[in-house]
Amino acid sequence: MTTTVNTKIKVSEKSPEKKAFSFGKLATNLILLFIATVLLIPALWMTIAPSKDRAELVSLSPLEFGSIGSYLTRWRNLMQYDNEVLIRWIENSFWYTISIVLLSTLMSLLGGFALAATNIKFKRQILMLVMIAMIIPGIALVMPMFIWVNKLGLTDTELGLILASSFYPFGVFLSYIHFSTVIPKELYEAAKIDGCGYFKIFRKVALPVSKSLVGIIAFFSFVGAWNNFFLPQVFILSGEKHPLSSGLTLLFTNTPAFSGNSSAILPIERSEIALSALVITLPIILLFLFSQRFLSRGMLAGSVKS
Amino acid sequence: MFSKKRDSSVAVWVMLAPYLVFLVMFAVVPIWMALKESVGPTMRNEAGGFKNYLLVLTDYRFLTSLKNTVLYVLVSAPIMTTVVLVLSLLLDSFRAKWHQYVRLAYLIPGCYVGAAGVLAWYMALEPIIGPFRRVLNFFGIEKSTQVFQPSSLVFIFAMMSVVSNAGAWIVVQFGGLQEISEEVIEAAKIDGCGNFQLATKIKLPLIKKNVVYMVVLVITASVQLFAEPFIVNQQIGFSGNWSLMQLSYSIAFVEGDIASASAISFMLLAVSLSAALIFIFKSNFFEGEGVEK
Repeated sequence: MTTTVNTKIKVSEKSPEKKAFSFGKLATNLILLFIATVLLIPALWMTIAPSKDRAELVSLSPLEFGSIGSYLTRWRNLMQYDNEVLIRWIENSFWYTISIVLLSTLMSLLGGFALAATNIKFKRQILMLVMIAMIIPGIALVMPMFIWVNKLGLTDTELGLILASSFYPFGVFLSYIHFSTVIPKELYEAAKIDGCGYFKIFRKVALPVSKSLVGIIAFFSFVGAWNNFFLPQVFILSGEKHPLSSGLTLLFTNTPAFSGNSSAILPIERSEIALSALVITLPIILLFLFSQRFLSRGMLAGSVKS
Repeated sequence: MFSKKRDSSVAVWVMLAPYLVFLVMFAVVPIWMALKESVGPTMRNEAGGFKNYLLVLTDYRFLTSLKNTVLYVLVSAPIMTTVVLVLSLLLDSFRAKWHQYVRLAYLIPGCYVGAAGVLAWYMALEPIIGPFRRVLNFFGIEKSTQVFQPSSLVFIFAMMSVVSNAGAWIVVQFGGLQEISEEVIEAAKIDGCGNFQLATKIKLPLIKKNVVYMVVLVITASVQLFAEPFIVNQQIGFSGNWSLMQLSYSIAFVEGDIASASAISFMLLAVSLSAALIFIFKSNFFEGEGVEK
């Protein structure tokens, strides 16, 4: 009895507000859903396109599925480009990206921790440099980097590409914010008094409570490195050293990909190109889907504590 | 005691060293090199010096590329800011659990970047085989030449950039909005604040710092536009020097004139650098993050 009364009261209390907003809420949700749909359709199209051949792309409805076997045909056609170089690009992309993620994450964690845990000389100046570097878009540094890397004799080498891509000021910034908000200053002081060196504090105290930070830095670094296309485009000269990102640009340029021109020797057209785009995007989409829950948890944990 | 303190500070510098080395190697030295290179001798100007800049500025292609780049910044930055803020505020005003999937959907186009991204959005506008061909045909667009005209390129590039990057910015701004304390919102509601007023008078001013940060980053990134015109123009055969960054790229790698290319890059970098400095000092971005301590 009391519960019904309660709910009734609640309903009557809330209903004017609810009624007033229900139209706005409905309209908002419709707008949000509409935009989401428009944004997903091209991704869906790209996924379905390799199931169709040249004629079916026109004759079938845009989101109609062709056949599974067609994916295999497209793949075989793609393999004809430059002696299966696509496989090399995929391998390159993975090992470049993993090296970059390891290097940049380690550097960010150590650097951010050192800046947060202590009051070293030039701390303010270093932080200022971190922020300036963070705001300058990476692409602005590509040409200057190229000149320098060229002087070092590292153009067209994997080492030059990996080192240049591992410079990641955003990671240092994130880790600095994290270590200076999550771990109380007193803890560093206490550890120091106990004779605990900074490397020990880092390993035993700071790292164990920073799993989400490591995840976030590695995640952003992975996405950035995997997708980076201008830097390898400028740094890498030989075809087989490219990662997928800049390799695909090469493939697009050297085939009648967009134009749908069938006069070329290679059977690489829109369906094949869509498949290659799927190959480069799939790891990122999977990464997003798998880390979505963990990412939102990580970001929330940071925000609650700061 | 003294020696221990010294030891620990050595350890700190060791920790910081890798990042500092990279900062010097891949930011400070390259910038210095680009500056030095930009005043070196060129084919057009054997004496080198700042005349290189003058020659680049008066290059017959420079003005067109500059116009395109400026127009692109003017079109894309306001659209991006508006889209991100409106959607973030809508998501925040009418919260629902399933919206997390909506936010995820907004992020998906960002997974298609570089060549793949340009392809996805090129196809979206393609009226013969593209996924939206019925809509395009309905508006009388039957050929791709009707879409990809020189005059519409700036809007196409802006659309590509907004579509691919808005999702990530929405996550950032939405995150900022969620950090606003419930008490502030409740108090405003009790004072008779409607959803619209709440958004414009309370929430927006409270996330101002995030918004300014986004605007600065969007502008500095737009100034350096490269991928979209580079790939689209190769496909449809328009000028290869649509944006300034493209012009710098082709002067360097087609004409082999690194000095003039550096001059352009350096000017573009200077724009981004000044924006960064103005932002850091004007917005007190620095103080807020506990750097003072």
